Order: sequence, then C-alpha cells, then structure tokens
Amino acid sequence: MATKEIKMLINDGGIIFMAHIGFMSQSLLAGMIESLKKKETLEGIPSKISHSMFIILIEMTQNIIKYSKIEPVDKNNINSNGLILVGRDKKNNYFVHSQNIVTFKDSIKITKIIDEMNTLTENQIKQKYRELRRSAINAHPRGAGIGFYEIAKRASSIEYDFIEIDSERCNFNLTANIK
Amino acid sequence: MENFTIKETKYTPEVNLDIQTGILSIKGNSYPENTLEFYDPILNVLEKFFDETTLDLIVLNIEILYFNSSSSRVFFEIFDLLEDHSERLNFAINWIYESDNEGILEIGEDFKEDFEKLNFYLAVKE
Repeated sequence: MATKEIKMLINDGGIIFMAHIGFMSQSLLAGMIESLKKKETLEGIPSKISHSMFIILIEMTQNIIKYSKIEPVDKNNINSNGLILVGRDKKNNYFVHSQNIVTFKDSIKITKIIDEMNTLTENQIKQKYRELRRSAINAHPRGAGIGFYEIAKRASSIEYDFIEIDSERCNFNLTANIK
Repeated sequence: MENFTIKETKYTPEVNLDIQTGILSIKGNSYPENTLEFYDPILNVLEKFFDETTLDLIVLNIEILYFNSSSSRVFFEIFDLLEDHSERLNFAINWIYESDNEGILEIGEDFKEDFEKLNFYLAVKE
C-alpha cells in the first residue's frame, strides 16, 4: 500500500486506527497494543476481531524487527525499519498491513509459503499450522513459516507483493484481511 | 528445589511455580523478542521439578492474552513435556479465558485436541 493508496483509503470512508513508520521495537509494539486497546479506539469491534488484530500485529511487527534488511548481503545487518498500519476499509473489513525491506532470497521463500497457504482451505490451514507447531520441536526457531500460518488462521485473505529495489533487495508488502 | 517466579512485563507473562502445592501459573502476554531465551529456564525448572516431585497432582493455570507464534510452539513443548511425564504424574491443565474472548478459547480447544492424553480443561475466568 503506497502513501497514495493510504490517502485514498481514508477518502473512501476507511479508517486508520494506527500507523507507524520507522524503527520498530518491542516496547513500541507493546505501546501500539496499549493505545489500540483503549476503549474509544476499538469500541464496537467484536472481541474475536480485535484479538486477531493484535495477534497479527505482533506477528508482522516482530517480522520487521527480526528480518528487515536495509543493506543486503550481511546476514547480521538487521535493520528493524518498516511500516505497520491497522485499519478498516469502506466495506467494513478490518486489516493489518506491513511493509519492509527483505532480501531477494527471502522474497522467494516468502512467496512459496504464502502461495501455498493461499491454495488451502480454512481447515487445511489449521491442520498445517498444527503440523508445523508439532514438527517445530527441537527444530531451528527460524524459517518454518509458522508465523505466516499464525496470520493465515485469522485472515479471510492475504495479499502480498514485492517491489524490486535492486538486484538484492525488495520491498515486501503484506496485507491480512481479518476474518 | 525452590519455588520459581518471574515477574510480568508488557510482553512476557508472570510465571509462578509453587513446589509445595504443585501449582504452576502462567499469566499475561507472551510475545518476547527471543522466545526461547525467555522459556528455556522455565522448561529446565519444570523438567527438574517433574523428575523430583512426589506430589499426587500438578495443576497448571494458564491465562494468556496476546502471544506470538513462537510462544505457541513453546506451550506445545510444555504440554509435550507433561505428556512425557504423564505415566508417573497426574496433571490438570486449566486453560483460562475471558468469556467474551473466543480467540483464546479456540487456541485452547486446539491444544486440547492435540493432547488427548492430558486432563485439559477450558475454564472461563470468573
């Protein structure tokens, strides 16, 4: 979602509950949850939706904290910079959107996971999530893609794209529409 | 062995293990940046406790609100540890949720299905 589209969303009758651009951290994430939880912000939203919203927000923000890379090549050079947006569109769908820079290599892995996820039914997603959770015991904490399934379980649809920056990096846009 | 306590933060839960009563409670949010770093010491203490205790019943009260996927994995690991010890020890797990929080209830239902051998109770918070 580009800045232009964000403006359009508002002009179109959508609502942005919260947006943050820049460095992400754990204390910032906790602060985002605290401010969204204030009654006036989420009043009237079913608790199941707001709970899903927070779980997805946590997953997306921690993805940015852990995997964003401004500079390519150096694996240790993680730059927790990105964009997070929580809102509702004109059709009353709640969504969480994130943007961050990933390496081209990561974009291939992510594409594979999300494309596979998007072919699955609701029950299959739930099944696969539980399989991943079971098989994760003693496995390396990174790379199983369980975080994307954590999001998918709570989403009616997931949209994503990658916009190339150079031969090694791209901008990763991810939107989860909440069920 | 001594009682084990960790204080709650905004993104990590309060953890209490009372070795006299055999009650373990985990309460709060669970989305640490490094989940394993947070839970490894807890898993180690639990393993030691399960090996040493002579109590008839061990009760787990779990009341989690917001969590990340890696915490969900760790809960799975904790229940797996319980299952490993379930021949010698009796466990009761209370998965506590607020009556209007369907999300947390569903997560509890999934765990209950995954661990049929354990006494897993879905308990509405009073």
